[in-house]
Amino acid sequence: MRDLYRRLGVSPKASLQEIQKAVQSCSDARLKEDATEVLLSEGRRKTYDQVHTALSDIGALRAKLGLTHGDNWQGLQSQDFEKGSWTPTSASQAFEKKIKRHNAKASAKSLLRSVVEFVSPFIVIGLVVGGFIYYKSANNASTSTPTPPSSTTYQQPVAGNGTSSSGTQSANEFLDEPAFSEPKLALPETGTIDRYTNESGEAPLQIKTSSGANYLVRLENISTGRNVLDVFVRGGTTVDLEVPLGTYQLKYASGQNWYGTEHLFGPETAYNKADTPFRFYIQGQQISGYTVTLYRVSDGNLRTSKLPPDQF
Amino acid sequence: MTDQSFTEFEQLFLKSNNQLGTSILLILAWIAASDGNVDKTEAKQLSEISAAAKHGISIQQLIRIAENHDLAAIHLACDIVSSHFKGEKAHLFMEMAIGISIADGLLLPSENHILRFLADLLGVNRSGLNETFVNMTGREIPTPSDVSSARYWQDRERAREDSSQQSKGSDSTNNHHEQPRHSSKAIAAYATLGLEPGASKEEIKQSYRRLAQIHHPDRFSSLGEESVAAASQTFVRIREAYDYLVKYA
Repeated sequence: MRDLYRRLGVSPKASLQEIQKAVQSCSDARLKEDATEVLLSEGRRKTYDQVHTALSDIGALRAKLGLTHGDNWQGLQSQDFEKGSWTPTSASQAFEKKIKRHNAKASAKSLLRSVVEFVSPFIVIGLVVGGFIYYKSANNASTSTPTPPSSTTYQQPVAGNGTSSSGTQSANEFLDEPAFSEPKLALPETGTIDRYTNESGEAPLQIKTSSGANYLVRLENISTGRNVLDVFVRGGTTVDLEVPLGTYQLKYASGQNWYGTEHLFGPETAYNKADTPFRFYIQGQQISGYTVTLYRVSDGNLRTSKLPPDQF
Repeated sequence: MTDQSFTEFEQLFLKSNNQLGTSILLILAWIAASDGNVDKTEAKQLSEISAAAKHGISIQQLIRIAENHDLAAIHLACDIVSSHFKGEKAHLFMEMAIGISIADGLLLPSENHILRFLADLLGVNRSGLNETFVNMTGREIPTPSDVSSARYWQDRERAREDSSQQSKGSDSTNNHHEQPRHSSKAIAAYATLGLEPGASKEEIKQSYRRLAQIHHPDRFSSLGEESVAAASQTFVRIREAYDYLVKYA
């Protein structure tokens, strides 16, 4: 079937008068006859429009999906509806059409590839979020940490403090060292946690770190700015915790040596915050959660910024 | 944190407890909307299939997306469905889609085009599609009528005149006999069973038995709950047509 509107150069929503006008000035005898018989009769136009709508969708979808050469599409003279490959059917242009088709075939492949690339992130995110949403246990007896999703399906990497700046850092260390004389303390265990709220933890949060630095991760309520919890994570370890539902700002301090909750990692402490808030919420029977991976990843999906120490 | 950058359907999709089910429902809603709008019966069927899918997504929202011809959404749904259904399952899915399309006894040109599109999407070639259609209906899948040609409409007009002339003729010769008259409901019921009006009781029974086997919902269990529910809708229509004809024909 052909796209009479397109061939006449009018919109599918054109009024009867507009179509009449286009038909009168049409020089193609066959098109003129078809348009007169089909579009100028109200009942026939209605039937035509139904098929026209379906084919417009299908043609665009076939182009998007690289299915314009599908076995079940050939021989129906419906190429008018292949988005972006409108070709008049006059004999002199048949050759041109052939070339276009050839090119379309080549581009269809790359189109398909881009489609796959375009779609796969959704699927990955779909899996990810699916993996992080877990059924709330009905009896609520299980207070154990939810089973964390496998690290291969999900990474919520944070660009952390890399080791590239170690040169300048040690220079600072050297300058600052005389002024800082607090005693070095034993490193807290991973999972050492200070909670500053009575609300019970419900949503899963998993934090992974790379070795090389230790981390104190802090969650602050985004609307009140109040600290909800601090958790210590040693380098190269993973901690699973449950946090109260809500939206949080995630901050973290990192360094090698521990000088206690006041001085944290001493003068070499690096302070960062995630640029995106973390939202933990209930959807029906499910609760959303996150895994945060604290190390520099080139294609991470979470950006962080340095934070002045007084804003930690 | 995904909320801002995703489209309406993508957000629904991410929230869904059954992403395949949500994708299938969007495609079914698109089929239902392809003739202009989703009518009450179609909406009711979709909402029953939606309940079976247990995806936690509002069917009204999916219907609206389909009625707005949101092609990016349908495109995504197509990708999901084609990644799940390959080989035998692809053929089974086509049977389910054909069942839904012909459950009213008619195959509209728009439905015909959509079936062909879905077949290409799932890698079912023309002879594969035709074979499935023949197995289900006993006839080949027709070439969709070219409603853009004057010729199609003129031929149709002529055929209608011929048949009305014929019936006039038969009226005059048989005017002393009671011609069995069929209500539109009966004609639709015959069509659902793939029969001409006036088929015998035996033919009705045979056709029903064959179709009930083909459309039995249990056959579709490997595709998931929503496909079973969709097949059930077709199955119910066939049984209703049979019950009606047994009573009144």
